[in-house]
Amino acid sequence: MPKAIIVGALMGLLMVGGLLMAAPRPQAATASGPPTVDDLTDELMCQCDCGMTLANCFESMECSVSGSMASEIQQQIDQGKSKGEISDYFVAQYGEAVLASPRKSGFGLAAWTIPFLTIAVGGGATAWLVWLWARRRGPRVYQTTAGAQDAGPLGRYEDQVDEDLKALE
Amino acid sequence: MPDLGHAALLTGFVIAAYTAVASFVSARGRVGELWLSARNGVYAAFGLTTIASGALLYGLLTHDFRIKYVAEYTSRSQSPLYNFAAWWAGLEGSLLFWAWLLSLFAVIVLIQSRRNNRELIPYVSAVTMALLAYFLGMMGFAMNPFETLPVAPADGMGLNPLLDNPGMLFHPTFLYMGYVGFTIPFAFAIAALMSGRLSTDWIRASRRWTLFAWFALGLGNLFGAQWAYTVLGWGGYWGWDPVENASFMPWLVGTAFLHSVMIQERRGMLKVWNILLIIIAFSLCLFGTMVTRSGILSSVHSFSSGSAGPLFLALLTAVAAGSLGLLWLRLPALRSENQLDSLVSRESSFLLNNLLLVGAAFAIFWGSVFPLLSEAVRGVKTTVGPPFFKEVTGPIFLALLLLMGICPLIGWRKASAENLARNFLFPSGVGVTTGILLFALGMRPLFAALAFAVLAFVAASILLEFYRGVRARRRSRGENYAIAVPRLIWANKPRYGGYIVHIGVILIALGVVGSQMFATNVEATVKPGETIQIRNYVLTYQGLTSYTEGSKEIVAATLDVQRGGQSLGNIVASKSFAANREEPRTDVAIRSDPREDLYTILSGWSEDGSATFKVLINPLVMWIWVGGAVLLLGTAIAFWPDARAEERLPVTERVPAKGMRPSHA
Repeated sequence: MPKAIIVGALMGLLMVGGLLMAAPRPQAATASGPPTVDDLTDELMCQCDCGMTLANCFESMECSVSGSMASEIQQQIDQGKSKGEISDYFVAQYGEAVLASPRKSGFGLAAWTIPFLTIAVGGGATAWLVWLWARRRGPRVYQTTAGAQDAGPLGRYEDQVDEDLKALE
Repeated sequence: MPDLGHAALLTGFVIAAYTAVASFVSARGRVGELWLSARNGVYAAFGLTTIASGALLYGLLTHDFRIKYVAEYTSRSQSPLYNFAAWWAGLEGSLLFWAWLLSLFAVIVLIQSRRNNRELIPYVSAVTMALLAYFLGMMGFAMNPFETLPVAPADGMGLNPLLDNPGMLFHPTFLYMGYVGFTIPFAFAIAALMSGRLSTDWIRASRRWTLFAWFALGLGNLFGAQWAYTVLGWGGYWGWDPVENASFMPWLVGTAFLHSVMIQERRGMLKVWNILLIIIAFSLCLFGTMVTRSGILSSVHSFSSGSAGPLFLALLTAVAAGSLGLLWLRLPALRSENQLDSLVSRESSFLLNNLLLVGAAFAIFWGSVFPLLSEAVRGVKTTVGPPFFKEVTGPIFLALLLLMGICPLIGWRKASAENLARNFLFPSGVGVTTGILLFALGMRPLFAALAFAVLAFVAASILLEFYRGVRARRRSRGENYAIAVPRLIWANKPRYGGYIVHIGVILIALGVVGSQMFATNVEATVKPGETIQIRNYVLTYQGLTSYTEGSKEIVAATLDVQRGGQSLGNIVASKSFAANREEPRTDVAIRSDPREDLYTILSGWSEDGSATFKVLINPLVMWIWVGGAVLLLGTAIAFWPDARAEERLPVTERVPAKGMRPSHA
């Protein structure tokens, strides 16, 4: 086995050790159960026009709206509703803008897919272009990119003026 | 004083507009006398903008409450430092700060270029002065910072309590330096297009400015993150707010630009792409300023609406349309001097890096404007908030990090299989071992283990680069490690400064992944003597005190902290109430170490002495700030003047011409 792999693996071990020492303990996957208020406060927007999620507004501002919305969530949970049902309840109350992110259906799906589609199309086009260039490349004549610095007529004029001014001083 | 300030603004507007026209005409017609006049116009515009700024500052510091802006953002009880910071606290003042920075940068460029880039400089001045004229015009005629009140109030409103923080001194100033800093490489690009000097001159001339703007924007964002973390009291540092996004997007595109210009400098390629990138970066800076100032998107940062939105939109449209039109006209002259040789080459990996950086910026832009689009198309308001941005950008940033490790390992032009095997073995070993072990030890979610594995891979690839350089120096010069490392860095500052910046990015990413994936919190209402437990911490509530500090009423809760049975001392979480504001400010108690932050928020209290706390454990957050410091160090090294730069020839110059095999890649 090449030395580099062995050294690399040892370094990896060291990094894992460091991470486990420094970072949180490895976590087990969370079991699915009834939603909590925290599950929803991160996914709903406060309606006090602060532009923050319920969770953030509740903590950072004296806001009566976020408090009452959190209470509403608790009431819905107490009625045994699922996360989706609670979200629907808030949408019916406040409109779609209460959701912190668009739904992954209908027009909202465009929000989620367009960025990745754009990158995929861009990546495909770039790969195709590079492949084409590499395939069609002609004789290896490489030009220099270093351009000589030429002061130009304006520069020469400035030099002359600077020289004249110096002479006057 | 208000009259003097306003007069300086109006005169500055006339001078800047004249200078823009004179610079352009002198460059086109090669009229030397006119250029000399324009050159003096740049200095005069700076002088007048400084006078206007001085007049506003005088008003701010002497409590001249006749001036509406002074009455809105300062007060007698506010410290002089924050009265000074009120310069950029409001819409009109921040426009003046923008203009003053721009005029200052225009003067510095002029002084720097007394001996070089003389064909470009008149055009650069034309662009900067045209922009300055627009800003001064906006203030002179629409958003006057010197507007006076019919009756001066006895005292001013003072800053919003949330702004009464050292972050106010650094966060906006660095962001503005970044935004305005990007004007200079943009102006050089436009100068190159206007003058037809489309070689790498404009890139070399503006490289430091790009680095400066990129660095200032990055640091401004980090200062903002730190401020939000310590003051807002929600336990986070990045809220994916439209205004935060607006300052992040040009930084991402600027990062792409900094990488792709290397290909143009070395291979004479991507000329159109580089100009396009800097146009996008600068347009995004204007977009960011527009979003902050117009209130067009719902944000915690927005100031006001009024005429700012349409005026910025008009400027943004003119800049984008004008520069893209100019680029279109010059397309035939912007052909690549060379072409890519292989899909597996550093050039290709840089292209992919560009694609992902611009893709990430696009994803954020798309999310930011989607609510407007949705309303226009469906007539239904939607929100695009943190969950969307985290989910969409997470995979893109992970891919970017991976690429950050891959790029330095692939040779320029065409990487051989041997080259790839030799370079990838060690970092891959580190990355794969880290990932497998973390997963096997139970780290979930998988994304976290994957992210740590990628970070380990990138760290190893950078370490390898340093090791090779040091080994070469040891062999050739017999230097020991302590001497070889600094000399290696000093011998090629842009390259190793860049790697140090990458180390900073790794550390920031480490903190982000740790805190995003493994944070935990608990909320409890306790009486004095009762405890709150979170992981292995036990917090014992000692009691509540209230006292006055200056004009503020402060309510503070003291808690004794123990970890694993060991006492860590007391922490104090508080809320402060400013005299003239209803809204209190949360001052979080943060106990930070390399492993995690214990973050305690005083949420509320009752008359019976009980208090409600939210306590969070945010793992690895300290590394975000350490990463920022490393980023600062790396940028400073890369920025440092390099006397040997001229000795390093582009790769193209080392390659033999027609019919001859290159000796090395």
